[in-house]
Amino acid sequence: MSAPKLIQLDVSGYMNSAKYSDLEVRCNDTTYMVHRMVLCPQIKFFDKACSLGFMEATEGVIDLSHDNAAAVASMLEYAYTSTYTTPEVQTSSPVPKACAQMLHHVNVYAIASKYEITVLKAIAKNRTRTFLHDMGKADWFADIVREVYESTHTSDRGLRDMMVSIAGDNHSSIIQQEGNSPLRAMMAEIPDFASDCFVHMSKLYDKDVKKFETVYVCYICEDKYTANGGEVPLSGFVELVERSCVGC
Amino acid sequence: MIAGRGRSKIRPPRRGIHGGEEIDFEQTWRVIASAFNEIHTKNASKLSYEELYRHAYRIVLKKKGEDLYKRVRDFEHDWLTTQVRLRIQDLLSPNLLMSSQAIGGTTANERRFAGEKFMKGLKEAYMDHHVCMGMLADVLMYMDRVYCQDTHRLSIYNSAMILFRDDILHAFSQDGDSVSVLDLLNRVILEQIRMERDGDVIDKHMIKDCVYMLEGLYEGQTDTAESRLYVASFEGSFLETSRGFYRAESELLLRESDAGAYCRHTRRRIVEEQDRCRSTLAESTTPKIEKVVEDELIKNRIQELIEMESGVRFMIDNDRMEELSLIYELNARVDPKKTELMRAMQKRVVEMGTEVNNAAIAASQAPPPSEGTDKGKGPALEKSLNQQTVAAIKWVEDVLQLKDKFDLIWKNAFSSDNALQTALTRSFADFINASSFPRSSEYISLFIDENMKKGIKGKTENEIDMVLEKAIVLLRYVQDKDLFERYYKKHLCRRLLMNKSISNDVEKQMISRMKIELGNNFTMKLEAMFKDMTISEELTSGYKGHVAQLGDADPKRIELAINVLTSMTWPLESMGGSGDEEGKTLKCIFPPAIDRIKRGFEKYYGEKHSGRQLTWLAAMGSADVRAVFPKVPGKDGMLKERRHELNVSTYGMVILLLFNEIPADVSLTFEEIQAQTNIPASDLVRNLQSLAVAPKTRILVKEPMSKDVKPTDRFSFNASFNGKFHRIKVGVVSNGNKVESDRERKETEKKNDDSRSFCVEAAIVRIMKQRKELSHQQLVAETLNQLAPQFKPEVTMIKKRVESLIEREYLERIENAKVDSYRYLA
Repeated sequence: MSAPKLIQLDVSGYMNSAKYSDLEVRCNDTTYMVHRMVLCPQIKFFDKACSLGFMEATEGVIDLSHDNAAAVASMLEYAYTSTYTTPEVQTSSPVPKACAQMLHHVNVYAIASKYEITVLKAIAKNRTRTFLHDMGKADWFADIVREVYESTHTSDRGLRDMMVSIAGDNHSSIIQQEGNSPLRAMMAEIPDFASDCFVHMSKLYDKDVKKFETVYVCYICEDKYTANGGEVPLSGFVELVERSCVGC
Repeated sequence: MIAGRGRSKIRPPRRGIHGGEEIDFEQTWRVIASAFNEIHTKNASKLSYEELYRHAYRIVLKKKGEDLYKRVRDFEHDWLTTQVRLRIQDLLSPNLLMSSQAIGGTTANERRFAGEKFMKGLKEAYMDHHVCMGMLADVLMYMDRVYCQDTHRLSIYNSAMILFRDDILHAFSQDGDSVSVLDLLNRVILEQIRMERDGDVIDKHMIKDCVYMLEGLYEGQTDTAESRLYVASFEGSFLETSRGFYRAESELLLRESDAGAYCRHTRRRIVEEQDRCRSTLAESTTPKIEKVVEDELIKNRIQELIEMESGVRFMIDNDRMEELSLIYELNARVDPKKTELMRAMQKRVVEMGTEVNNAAIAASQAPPPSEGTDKGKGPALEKSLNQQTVAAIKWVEDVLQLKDKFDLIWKNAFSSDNALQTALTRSFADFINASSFPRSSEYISLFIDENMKKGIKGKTENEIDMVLEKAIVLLRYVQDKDLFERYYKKHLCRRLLMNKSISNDVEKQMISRMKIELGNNFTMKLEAMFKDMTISEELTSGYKGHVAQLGDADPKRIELAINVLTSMTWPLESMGGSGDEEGKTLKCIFPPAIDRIKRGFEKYYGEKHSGRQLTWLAAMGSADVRAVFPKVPGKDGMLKERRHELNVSTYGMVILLLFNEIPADVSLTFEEIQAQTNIPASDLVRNLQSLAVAPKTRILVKEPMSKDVKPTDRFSFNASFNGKFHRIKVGVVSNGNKVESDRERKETEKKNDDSRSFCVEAAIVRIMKQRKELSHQQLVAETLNQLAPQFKPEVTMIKKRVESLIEREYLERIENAKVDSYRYLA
């Protein structure tokens, strides 16, 4: 047997084309004319849907109305072009542009994760990076976090860790927020996120200060000293113990 | 909040989808479970894959993976134990359940039918389960990928396969019965295989499907190749029953058929088993079942098989190439060294070789056809060779024939196996060098001698080459090369001096072949002999020219052809007729005319090579003498003087010349002749026998007339001699190379031993000089090693030589050494 012949095809021209189309993907009121030979080899879900003896195989229609419509469009675009374009946001929209775009990437990430499209997942994750730090201070950050935590499984750390890290970077501003700010409310709503943040902060904390140091305070002369006679740390986390010193 | 306000293409999050609302697990599961039911009843085409996938996805996403996994397993367990198990149990007819011993009432056919039905049902159940679980696994893809990987669970497919194994295969076939469905399946398959081995046709395809099932299921929780049910449950008992089957079969076959048939059957069985593994069972079983067949049909039986009456010996004797090659093939399967076959073959070679040896000994000891040893005189006898020589040549031919036979077997039946070739060579060497047969060296030399003198006459170059090659082939086997050299020199010496060789070229070819085979040392002396011959020719013609220059145009001049031989090179003792001590001390008194020539040549030679001493060997050589006999009436009544040219030995000439000096009617006694010529008594007797007793060359008359020559006999010139030819050759007894008598052989061996002693001593000294100190064992080993190309000395001889060297202070024993050791004394 000779090695299989790899062929490279540019199928981007067939996107949304009825030519040779042998499958329909429906999403609400939109119908995409797609091609099994393009989708099935790349996305296992389509392969199974078309090859097993289920309804989809006989009818040639796959209904994805339960998925995010824009994400479905991007997924199909990816199948034909190996990438996807970030959709335009209408300027009149009251939603900040960044928020809308960020949400879209999160949705693509979720759909890629649901249908196991590893490369698309990586692309979506990369797109989110461009927003990173400013996001932490924005009001809509809470919406993004909520979307991430609701659309991915606990074990999928990709976006979740990113969210936690942003929250961590902005901890000082978050701590100053009122208790009913969007973010604080969201934390109460999604304990997974709060717990992840705690773990993240603890790790940072452990990294900076290796351990609590015991500092003795003489109750007579109020001098501070350590057990091994070393320098007394001025800041950081210390445990103060009252005890008389050698001189007193 | 922001949600719901956007009208862009991008929709803000819709809580409704993802979890603002908790999913209702029980309700979702009911949807999934009913779908699974449809799948199991082959109604999947009404279901939406997307929907099922989505449900499963969302359950897992909401951290309910554990519950889902458990529910699916329970569902499958339930399905298998209620639906599938019943179907299987329906197939278990009483015919099937009966153990094979109690087959009694049912016919084999019914039983077989029940078995096939059972296999068919089981296979279908498995295939259904396999297909359905494939679909389920695809629906539950997200669960497998996320939940099972995170928690290190078996994939749902594998888990379901384990369920099938436990719920169906490990289930007992009947309540209270200890036979499981799996046991039953194994039994059915084994029975079917047994039927096929007995010649029935079975449904291989169906068994293969069942095997496929067993290969897809695993014992325990791990998916290693060894834990496949096929290996863990079936293969072992398959091999075990096969072993029993073949053990019984081999016993039967050995009793009832001959070795050739056995081999053919065995090979067929092996091929059958290979085919069976390919078509019915699994390829991975091939080497294992092969080993079982090999063990039972070959390994445990090969010795019996080879030693059967129709075994290897019979095959060799009858040139059964095909059967021999089968035996070889079978033996090679179980033993890369082919020990048993090798042993049998070697035994046969030695047996046949010993037969050849014994035949040669018997032929040489049979009473000679005519009395006395004077065969040289009768032309009839002259043509026929000495009996022993015939035996020698027959021996060589027989050995070569034997070799051809085994070479052919080796090539055609033993696929030119290297180890077997070595074994063959060793066996040939064994019987050729057997201590009970000490004549091989001599016989081979005689064989060459015979061919050089007569055999190669009229043969093409190629044929001659073949003869020479044959001789070399045999020579390779000979261990005592030095003994062969001795004989060869002796025989060559005679050929050269008596001009018996047909072709000098062929002689030289032989020498150069030996040189290639045995090395320079071996042929050096032989080559020196040829050189002497060439020089002698030059000397003879040189002397002739020298005499012509002297201007001595004596018509009675005697022509001299001379061979000057280097005394160390030529084995002259074997030439000198009787070889008596006498012959060496006594110098023959030559008649004056001859003596003159002798002195003339000595002078000529002395001028050319000063300081060399010439010893005249009157016992050798021959002379042409022109003799004139008195006139007798011819047929036409005319008186005619008769002239004959007599070719006589040198001694014969000396004797005849005596009668030139005396009147024709005067006689001389034996003693008078001896006194006047100084010829050794035994030589004289033999020469006088030729001249006065042999009827065709009776130039002298003996008084009284009898066959023996006694010291008191009187001899006179036979004036009435009547010869038919002008040229008459007076033969002398005991010419020509033939097999030695026992006495001669002992002498030869003694001489050989003497010269071996020198070789051994030289080798020891060489070794010790280099190593300075050496243990006894090592010394012996090295000595043997060094002398191997020449001969194999007895260890006692080496010991004796060491003793002798110690006495002569070449070596000394090292005191207090752990093992016996020697030191070299410079």
